[in-house]
Order: sequence, then C-alpha cells, then structure tokens
Amino acid sequence: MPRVSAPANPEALVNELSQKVNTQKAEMEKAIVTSVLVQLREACKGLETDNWIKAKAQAIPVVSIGYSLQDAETLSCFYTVLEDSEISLRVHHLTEEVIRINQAHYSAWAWRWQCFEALLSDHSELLEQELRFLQDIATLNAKNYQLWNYRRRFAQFCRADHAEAELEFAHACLVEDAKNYHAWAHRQAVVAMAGLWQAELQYTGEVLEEDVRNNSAWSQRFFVLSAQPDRIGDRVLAEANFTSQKLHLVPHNMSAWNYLLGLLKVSAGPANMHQICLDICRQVLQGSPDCAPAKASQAVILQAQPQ
Amino acid sequence: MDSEPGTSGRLVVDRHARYICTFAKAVDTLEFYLTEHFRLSGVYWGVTALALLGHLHNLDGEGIVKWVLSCQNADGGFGGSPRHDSHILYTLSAVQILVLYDKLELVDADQVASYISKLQQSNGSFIGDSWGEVDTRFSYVALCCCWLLDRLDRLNVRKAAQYVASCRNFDGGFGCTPGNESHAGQVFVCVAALHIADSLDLLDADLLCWLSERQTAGGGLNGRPEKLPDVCYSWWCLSALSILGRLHWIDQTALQDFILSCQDEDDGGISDRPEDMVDVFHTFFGIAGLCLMGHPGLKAVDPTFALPLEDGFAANFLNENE
Repeated sequence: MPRVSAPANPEALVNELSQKVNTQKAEMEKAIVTSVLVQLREACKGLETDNWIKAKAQAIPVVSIGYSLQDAETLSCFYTVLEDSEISLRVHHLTEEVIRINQAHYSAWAWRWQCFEALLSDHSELLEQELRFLQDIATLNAKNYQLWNYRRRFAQFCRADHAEAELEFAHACLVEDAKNYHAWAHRQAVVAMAGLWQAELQYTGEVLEEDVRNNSAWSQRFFVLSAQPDRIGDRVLAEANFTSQKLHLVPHNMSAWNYLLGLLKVSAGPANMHQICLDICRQVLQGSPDCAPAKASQAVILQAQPQ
Repeated sequence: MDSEPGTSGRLVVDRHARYICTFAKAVDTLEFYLTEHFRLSGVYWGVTALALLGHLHNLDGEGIVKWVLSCQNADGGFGGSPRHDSHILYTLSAVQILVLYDKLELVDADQVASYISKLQQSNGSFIGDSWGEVDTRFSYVALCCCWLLDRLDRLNVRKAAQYVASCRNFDGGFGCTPGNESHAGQVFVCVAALHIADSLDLLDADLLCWLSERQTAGGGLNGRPEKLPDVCYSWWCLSALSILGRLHWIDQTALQDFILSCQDEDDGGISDRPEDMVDVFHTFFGIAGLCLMGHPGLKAVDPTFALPLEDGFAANFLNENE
C-alpha cells in the first residue's frame, strides 16, 4: 500500500472511510480500509486527531476480532488478484497464504490449481512444492473437503506412476484417523486409476489386523472385489473364509456380518453359498450362543435361501 | 432413560431461539469471516430452526431475503455469500429460504433451474460447481431444488435416479460416489433423491436394518458402524427412516433423551454430543430430529425437503404440491 502523506482534513477522510466500511458492501473491503486507516494513523502521528483515528481503526471488525492486519491484507490482496485474473508464481504463493488463513477458502484452492497447471511446465519445482504444501495442510485438518478435491485433481493430473505417493499420503492420514472418509475415497480413486487391486486388498487386511471393526476397511474390501466382476466368483469363497476367521475373533462385529451377507448376494458365488454362510453362523453361535447379529444373519440367510 | 446429571431433560426452546438470533447478529467474530463461503447454508439452518421452534418472527425476514438474493450470480446460481462463486449447495439453501418466507416469486425459476440442469453429467450424476466434484449430495440438491421451483422436468430424472442407484452398496447403504463407504448423510440424500424421483423401488431392503443399527447404546445415532453418535445423524438417519415409513424402528425415547442431553441449557444451542460446544448446524439438525419424532411444542417437518410442515408458507406450499 502506498504511503499516505498527512491529509489536510483527516477527520473528514476517516468519516468518509468509516461510512464506506459500514455499508453492506463486501466485508473484505474493510480489510483494505483497515490498512488505509493504519497508514492514516502513521501519517497523522503527533496530530491531535491521532487518538481519534486510532479509536476508529479499532472499531473496524476485522482488526478487533484478532484477524491480524497481515491476514486482512493478504485476503484483500487476493480478492484484487482474482478481479485481475492474474496467473503467476507470486499469485500461486499468495494462494498458499490465503489457504493457511482459511483452509476452506474455495476460491483460493481453485485459483491455485489454475496457477499450478499453467506454470508447471516452466517451473518443475512446483511439483515438489505442491506435495509439501498438501502434506502441511493435511496435518492441520485432514477432513477438509477442498484439500481432498484438490488432491484428487492433483493425483489424476500426475497419473498412475505417481499412485504410490498418493496412497502413501492417504495412509498417513489414516494413521491419524483410521476411518477418515476422504482418505478411503481417495484410495479408491487412485487404486482404480492405477489398477492396484491386489495391493489394496492386502492393505485392508493389514488395517483389519489393527482393528477388525474398522467398517471403512471392510467396505474397501468389497470395493476391490466388485471392481473385477470377472474374478469375483472365484474370490467369494476365500472371502467367506476370511470373514469367518474374523468373526471367530470378534463375533459381535456388525461390519463383518454385513460383509458376509453382502458376499451372499454375489450372483457369481459358489452354488452352496447359503449353506456356507449358515455354517459360519452356526459355528459362531456354538462359541457365542447370545450373539444377536449371528442369529439375525441366520434368519436373513434362511429367508433368502432358494427353495 | 434417566437424564444426564445437570440436564433437565426438557427442550429449552427460548434459549435456542435466543442463541440462533444472537448468532445471526454476531458479525464481529472471527467465525463470521471464516464461515463466509458457506454462510447461505448457515442462514438456512438458522431460519428453519427458528421456524420449527415457532420463533421465526424474531428475525428480520425482509433483510434476510434481500441478502439471500444478493448472493445470486449472473449464471443463475447462488454463492455462499455475495461475491462468491455459485455452487449447487447454496443454490438449494437460497431456494429453501425463499420458500420459507414465501418469496420464491422473487427469483426467475427458469434461470435457476437452467443453472442446475447444466450441472447434470451424461451418467446422470451432478457436479457441485465448475470445479467438477461429483457427489450424491448434489443429486439430492438438484432434484430438491428443481422440485421446489416446479421445474423437475428440466432434469433427466430417470438418469439421476439410476446414478443414485449405482451408488448403492452391498450393505444397502449409499456413499458419495459408486463404491464409497455407506454413510448416513449420503443415505439421507440418496433416499430423499429417489423419493423425489419416484424411484424408491431402487432401494435394497437391507438399508432399513442398516439404518436402525445406527442407534448406539446411549440412544444417539451414528453415521457408520462403530463410530460415535452425533446429533446430526438424528436428522440424516431419521428422515430416511421416516420417508420409508419405518420411524418406529428406532427407540425414539432414547434418541430424544440423547438430543436433549446435547443442549446447552444456559446459553442455548445444541452440540454434536453431550458437553461439546454448540453450533447452528447441530442446533438445526437436533431440533429437526425432535420435530420428526413429534416432540411437543415443535412444528412438524418434512423429511424430504427439510422445511416446516405446519404453519407458514412452506407448509402450505408442501401440502399443496406434494
């Protein structure tokens, strides 16, 4: 902001600015006004009006709420940039500043992508920078919709040979929260893009070793199965055995029972699948006669059994 | 079930009304700035909650309608605040608020419907905005918004329903896109979308069990198996069960007690679970859930359109047209 030399009539100027601030138009212009008021204060130092201007500046909400002056300037700068539609390295960096202030700022993410895509060919270092930035933001809040939308676009842009890095990123988020919905959905998109089905099946197995009740992992397992419909028939029996083992560990596990009933619905499964599932129910009930989901599943299977 | 210690077990209607009105006027807070991008939805939660509490008159309806209209962009859609790009989510919130205040005639229905119809993809799904994110939430939003505008014929409803059905999982539930884990929020939007599309036959009966299994020992509902209960699922699960005529599959007394235990009885507002900080989002969904269960002193609420079914313009509108 250019330095303002001491105005002839500072009271009138401040009044004018205050009025502008108090109109309904755009809260963010208050940030610009705040900057100007600070400049005014500097310019009027020593004048009688100094205290009065200071008081006016404090009346501006953006300053009084603890939104730092620097944040306000960053945001107002960004809105100006958007109006000019500038695409440049400095704007790319500015979007990072804006996102750090408010990670849900949709426009900042969207504009950042425009810059990244346009500048990458001339500035290959942006790729590494982007990875680091996205890592940082994820540590601040791994459930941010905008972060994951952006990361999805980034993954699709980088394509299959970058898939491992994407899965690693999602895994890091799952280490913090093993049921992070966005992270699992991201894995689905990346696995589908790169065809990493077997590895993902193994991954779900590892997660279920940690927590056999992780519904997201069970759901992911079914996703992997369904993705290759020509092979699903062969796999149903193996999956039924897998589920049976897990149910013996923890009989009262709704996710596992839902999974078993889901396997039953696979038309390409073994002809005696109903009997296989009934046997699993019976075995569990032998060890845990009060297991309600086992009884409920038994009833469902009996009802579904072809006559 | 006994009330939590320190809670009265009754709904503090006046406190909630005051909380919402105070929140609506608090423009001097950091939160106000950080929530700018979705403020239109926040306004919808606040005004609808007040309407359900019978306290809508406490807000400046004219001022709100004016502000809502100022969020509309040249493309016909609405942004979360003025100067924000259009998004399908805020377009629905805008239309819902206008229906509530009986000011729907202030928007050009063709223009808004045109904006929404352009977001439909060839596979029947909907993107949220120019960024291109696909989510079954947007399917519901599109169908709901166009129905309220009486422009459902602008969409390919059959394909929209087919896409929603393609997101049905092995457990009967629904996720954001095909294959994504079943989640109560997505279940609500998919059930409501199929209801509007007159395609409830595309549902799997397992969904009913899945929904009733969302009730935890403490009476609250969760969003997925083995997750903690959260008041917002009092709406997502309950509305889906209500649409399917199975509200009685939930222990309603236990759920009502859970919601009531999430109130801040001193300052008003409802939180996600007991002792947590309140917010307008959970206040709305907690109240809406209580309305669905016929809690005394509250207005009836429509489970598909999430608008009041008693008193006021929204009610007349829905009762005439549904």
